[in-house]
Amino acid sequence: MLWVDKYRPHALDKVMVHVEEAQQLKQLVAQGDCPHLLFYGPSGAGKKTLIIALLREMYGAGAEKIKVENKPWKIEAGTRKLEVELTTISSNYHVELNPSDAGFQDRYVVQEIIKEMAKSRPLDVAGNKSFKVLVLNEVDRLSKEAQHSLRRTMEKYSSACRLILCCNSASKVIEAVRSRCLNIRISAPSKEEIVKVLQHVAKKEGLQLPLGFAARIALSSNRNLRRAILSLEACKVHQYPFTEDQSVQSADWEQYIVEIASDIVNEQSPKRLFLVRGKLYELLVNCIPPEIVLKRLLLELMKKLDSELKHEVCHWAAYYEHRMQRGQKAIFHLEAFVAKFMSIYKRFLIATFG
Amino acid sequence: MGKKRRHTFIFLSDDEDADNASRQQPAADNGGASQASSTSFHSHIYHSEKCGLAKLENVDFGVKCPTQFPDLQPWTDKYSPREISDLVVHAKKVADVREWMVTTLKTTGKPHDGGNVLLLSGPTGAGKTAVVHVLVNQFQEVELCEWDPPVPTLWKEHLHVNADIPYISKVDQFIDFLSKVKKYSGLPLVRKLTNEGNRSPLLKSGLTRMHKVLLIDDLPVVHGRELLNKLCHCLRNFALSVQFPTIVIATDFSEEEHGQGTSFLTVDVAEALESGGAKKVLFNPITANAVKKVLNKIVLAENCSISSESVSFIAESCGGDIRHAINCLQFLCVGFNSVSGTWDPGGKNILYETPKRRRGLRNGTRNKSKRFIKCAASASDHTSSIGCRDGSLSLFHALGKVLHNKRLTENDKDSGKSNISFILKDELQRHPLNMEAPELLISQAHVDAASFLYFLHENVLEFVDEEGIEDVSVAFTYFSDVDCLLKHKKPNTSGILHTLDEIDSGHIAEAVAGSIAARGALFANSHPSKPRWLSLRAPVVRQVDRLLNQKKAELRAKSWRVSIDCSTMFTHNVQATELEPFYKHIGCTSFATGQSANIADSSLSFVDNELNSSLSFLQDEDLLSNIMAIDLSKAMDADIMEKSDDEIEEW
Repeated sequence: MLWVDKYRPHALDKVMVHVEEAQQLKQLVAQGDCPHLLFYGPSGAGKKTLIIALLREMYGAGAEKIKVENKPWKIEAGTRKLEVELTTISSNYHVELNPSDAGFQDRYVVQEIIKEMAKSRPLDVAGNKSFKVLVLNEVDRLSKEAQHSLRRTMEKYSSACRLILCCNSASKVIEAVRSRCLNIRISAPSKEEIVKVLQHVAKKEGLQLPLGFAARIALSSNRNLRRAILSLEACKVHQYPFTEDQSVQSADWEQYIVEIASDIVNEQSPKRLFLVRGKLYELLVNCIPPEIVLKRLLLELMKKLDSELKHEVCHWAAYYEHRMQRGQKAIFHLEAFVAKFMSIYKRFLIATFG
Repeated sequence: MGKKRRHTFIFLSDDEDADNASRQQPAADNGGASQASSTSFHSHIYHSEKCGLAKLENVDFGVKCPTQFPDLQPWTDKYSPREISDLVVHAKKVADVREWMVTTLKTTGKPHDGGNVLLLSGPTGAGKTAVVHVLVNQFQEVELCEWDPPVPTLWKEHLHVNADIPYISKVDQFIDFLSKVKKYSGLPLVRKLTNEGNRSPLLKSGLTRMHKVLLIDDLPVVHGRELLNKLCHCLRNFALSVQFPTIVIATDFSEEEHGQGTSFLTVDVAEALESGGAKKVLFNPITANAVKKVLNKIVLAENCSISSESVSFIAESCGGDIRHAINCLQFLCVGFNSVSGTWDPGGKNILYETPKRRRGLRNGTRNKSKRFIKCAASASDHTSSIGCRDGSLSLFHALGKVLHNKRLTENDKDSGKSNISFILKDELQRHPLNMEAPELLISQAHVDAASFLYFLHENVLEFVDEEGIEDVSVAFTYFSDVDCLLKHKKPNTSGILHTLDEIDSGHIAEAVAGSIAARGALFANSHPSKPRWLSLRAPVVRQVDRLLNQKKAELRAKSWRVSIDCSTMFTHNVQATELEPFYKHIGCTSFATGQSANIADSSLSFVDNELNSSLSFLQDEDLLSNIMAIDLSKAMDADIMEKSDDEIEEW
């Protein structure tokens, strides 16, 4: 078992970051009921950990007896019959799924599953009808139609189930859904918190973790706790005992982006752009989300940039990131950014060095 | 009764003709033309009188009467080329075919493998058959034998009267023919020779042996891969073993009809024959200038009163199909002289009978001719496309036009500049385009805006100068706009509209998107790279999408195993960006627990898969680019041909 899973706190009392939020959640469900919840925050901040702990708080250890199912959902949408295969994780008390996996049929999926759940409401110990919890991941990736239909079903079946929504960016969730939920922002843990967690893990594993090295891992993780712990484990595999100046393992796609950034800075020509295009395709094919590619690329480019240009480049990165959200195919916008950068950078070079 | 009526009609029409002749004279362009038209009228009256007389004898002829003027023999037959000098096909192609004939006729009869088959391919009306006939006439001791496909039994007929007529598929018939010809090469041909030989003066001159050239002008149409393979296999064997010269003509039609996609039939057949040692000569569409020359010759011979603008309009709009152009010319000239004369809605009511009948016969043509008369009468309405072929372009041709970005040069600039009433900044000024409107190009290429964008995006980098990264940046900004616009397109609508009612914002967005993509690329590319041979690639965007979905499915399958450990599920983003890379690091060393070993396995297979997929990705690309290269070579041929206009004129 990976350390990330092994040392995931299972109770709200035991969390090491977001202690305050955990206590508030505990009080929230103390009466046995809760409103719909929307957890949002950056990746690796602890949203899922809190959700799992919250479920356990509500239902006890039974919520942890899960089964993974990959079953086809037969959906009748008007005259058409769709069949969508979807993976769900469920216990007696909750169902978790990624509705955005269903692609553009996502709205039917959401409706159908909620209906299904409403049909079989569990009884609690006292024989009272209680509710089930539906955990939806990545609601920000749902289409607008799906979000609207989510809104309606939320109202209709609110007596039968509670929704816990989880996403990275609340701004991509429509206002109507947001206002029906209790919004809980989970911020990225600070570097100090990450160091603390890393040392906790190291202690449990019986490892000697130098403070400086822990700080470097925390720094390179970009305040992403999951990455920090994964990275710690990777480092341990790579070299143990740890030394202060040991290199921190990073992901291969990040190396790739560093490479792309240096490609871009070294030469600005259509031919080079073509090379970069191939590399961007390679990243996209490997499921790296284009937003993350653009962001990392910008960060890497920033390192090599004269501060005079930073503002302009940032502006264009934001511009094309927005375009990417509005468009269909990310590659056009990614490449447009790269071309724009090349053009700006070349103009700057010519103006500066002649 | 009916007979009499027709009789009257014809004489009436003659009167009308005479009336109209005087009426038309002022409308004609110049004195010379009017002179020509009036003389042609005289001859015309004479013909129709003859026709009327013939009618009286031939009672059953009936309804077709008005079209039975003796001079209405199709001009395509009447003016089919007889001498080599009549041909307007590029001289080199003619020389190629001739050379093949000379060499094969020399060696014919002697057993050798291959080389006895010549494949002529090209679009319709490019003069393939004409070249063969003319050249065969040149060689006196050569006789042409054509394969005449028997009247096929339709499958439905077979079902209906199944006992009597056995069903033989057309492909089978053809294949059967090929094998028979191979076996009994001499038999049917020799007999025919002796029949003709009796009368032939050649026999007297002591020539006993005549060469046979077999012409296969009608390859059966096949559907489905299996049949096609069978046909190809047969043709290949035929090409390898046939003992006398054979010419196969394969019309390359699918490109015009569908706008995109290679015609697999022609390509496959060509490959099959070539692998059997056949020589291939590819015919290009005939240039507008050459068509014009031929048309003018006919106009002279027929004494037609047709303006030179009309002739050049026909020549340009025929798309290199000379047969079509001649038909068009005939239609126009005949329409001018007789049909327009007889058609008079306000005149004698007897005339109403005939148009109605004609409408019953050929629905729609009357309507067309009516409109056409109008446009011919106005004489300057050249943009009307009646009687002209719908222009269509292959996708690659259209792309080539946009990417090559042909504009009027400095010399022509003045005329273009005068149109602009406002002053633009220098860097925003462009020379006027030397091509059709980009929107027209897209519609002629029969592509939706999205595909056009993908193709442009894939290829535009090659066409910009090495120093022109700014241009690229501008172009990509436009592409980014286009992509956003395309999001509003409905997923299941093709770009083709059927009625006006169907138009909604999605369609408009798509049309606008296509326009922006093409015009954006044109505008941005202010420093086009030097013209050179560039092959166009098919876009990989869709492949990337497919691979991405595969990858997602892969990750999802794996997440199943992972999620038992962590009692929650990860989105594939998290999996791809965070978990997988570290699995790779961690999975390198062996783990004690079975679960982790599992992960290690999967991460290894992940690497493998990645490799495989990227490999197959490359292979796909290779394959595609091969296909495209074939297609492209045609487009480029057409381009080259355009350039050699001058050469043809000299010739």
